[in-house]
Amino acid sequence: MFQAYFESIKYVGHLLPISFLRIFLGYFYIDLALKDWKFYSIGSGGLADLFVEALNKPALPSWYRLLLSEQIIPHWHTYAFILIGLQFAVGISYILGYVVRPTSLLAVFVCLNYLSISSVDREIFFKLLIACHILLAWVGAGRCLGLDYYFFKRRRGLWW
Amino acid sequence: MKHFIIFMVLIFSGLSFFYYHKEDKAQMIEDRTIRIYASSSFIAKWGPGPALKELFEKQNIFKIEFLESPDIAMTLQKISFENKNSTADLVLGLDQFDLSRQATKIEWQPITQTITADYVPDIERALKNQTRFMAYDWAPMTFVGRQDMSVQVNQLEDLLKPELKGRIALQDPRTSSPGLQMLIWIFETKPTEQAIVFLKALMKQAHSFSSSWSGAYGLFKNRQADLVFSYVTSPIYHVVEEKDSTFVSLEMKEALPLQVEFAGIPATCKNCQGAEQFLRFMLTREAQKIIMAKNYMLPVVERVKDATEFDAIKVYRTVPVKFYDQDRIDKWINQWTEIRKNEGL
Repeated sequence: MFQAYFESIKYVGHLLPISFLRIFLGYFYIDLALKDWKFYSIGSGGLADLFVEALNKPALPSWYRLLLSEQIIPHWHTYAFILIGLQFAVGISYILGYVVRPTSLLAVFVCLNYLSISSVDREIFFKLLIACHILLAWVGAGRCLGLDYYFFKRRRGLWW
Repeated sequence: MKHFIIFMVLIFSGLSFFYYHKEDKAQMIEDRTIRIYASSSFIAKWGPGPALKELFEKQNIFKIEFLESPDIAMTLQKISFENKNSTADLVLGLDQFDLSRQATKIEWQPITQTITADYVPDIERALKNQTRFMAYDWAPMTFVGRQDMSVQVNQLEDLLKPELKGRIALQDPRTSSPGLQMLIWIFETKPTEQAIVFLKALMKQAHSFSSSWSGAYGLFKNRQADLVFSYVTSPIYHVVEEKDSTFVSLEMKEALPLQVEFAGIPATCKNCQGAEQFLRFMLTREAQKIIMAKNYMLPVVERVKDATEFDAIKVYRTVPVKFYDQDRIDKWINQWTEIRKNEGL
């Protein structure tokens, strides 16, 4: 597996710039998750701010506002845990280059969620992130400098 | 697919493991840390926050952690839904309108009767019935201008002079506490019909209605406006920080409204004892001096400002602090919004 990791540069070296983007995004997500985790473990923090921000966003779709106030906010601790877990999953997956394709699709879902609830000035940032995740899923970015190359060689298929 | 599911299960299992093993440590940190929500200007390095923190930590075993509160309504909303998970021990920066409008969103801890001081007479009456909030600074509000101003302004009607057309920087009462202060001031000093006529005329005199005090004051500082609705303490800022004594607060025929800032302990506080300790500390002479010097507001404790630059501030005649109910405030704001809409602004 270790050998395949570096061997990928030889065979799919043209994907190296995409791998750079993938690893950078992985670092970004881990950093984000660690920051949120720090507050989460003491029972407060950034994700709670995000939910409040969402409730005060005038352009929030009414069905999402209802979902937020009726379901998510009463159980915000559980939702925050899931969101942090997903951030960690995306970060670790991108850094290792393991199960990048399904994780990218999951990351698109997380970003769509952020896009709905965060303030208008951050919308463009999340749109760009969504474009990056789709790009990573499209090319199968885990195949270069990633563990996905090892599995792709043996099993092929759309998941790698 | 199997790989992906196993990967996700591993991540969440790991996270759950860390969560249950971190709780004890978090509890230990909480015991000695007081988490305080305060405005960005309060906790900025030029604000009173850092100096208060340093002094308090020297005198006590507790540690202070300031959390930025960009908007008091949103902060209280957050504390409300975090409920028992909230780590807020103290909330600073509530004004008298917040006490009736926003503060009802959460439960507050009664403040021990021993947290008291020799209050200045101007606000003492307003504080008598407060069992859940403690005042820590105050200032009357009026119009601030420059000494070289060509127009004389001694009363509200003077604001309608033709020379001031489009030259007054005001705040939007829907988003700004000083803006709301001015609106209530007008409705309280004039009969409703006259107040509405006056507000209609004032719309033409306003340069703009900024969403915050700082926005309006910025316009005034850049000479885009000749007058701004601000604190009587504003000119002292220019004297101390910029050595500029050309700014003056105007004495008006009408008694001036008062802005009082309060602190409160949410009922869900974790370090309630520490929060009370900090409140007690805020009423000490040293802390009051820091708040006065860095926040440019008057101290609530008698004789603290003696022999300082703040002693020279003319407080003028003021109206007693009042706590208005939500419906009354909403009615005034709706009237203002209607007038503004009809004026095509």
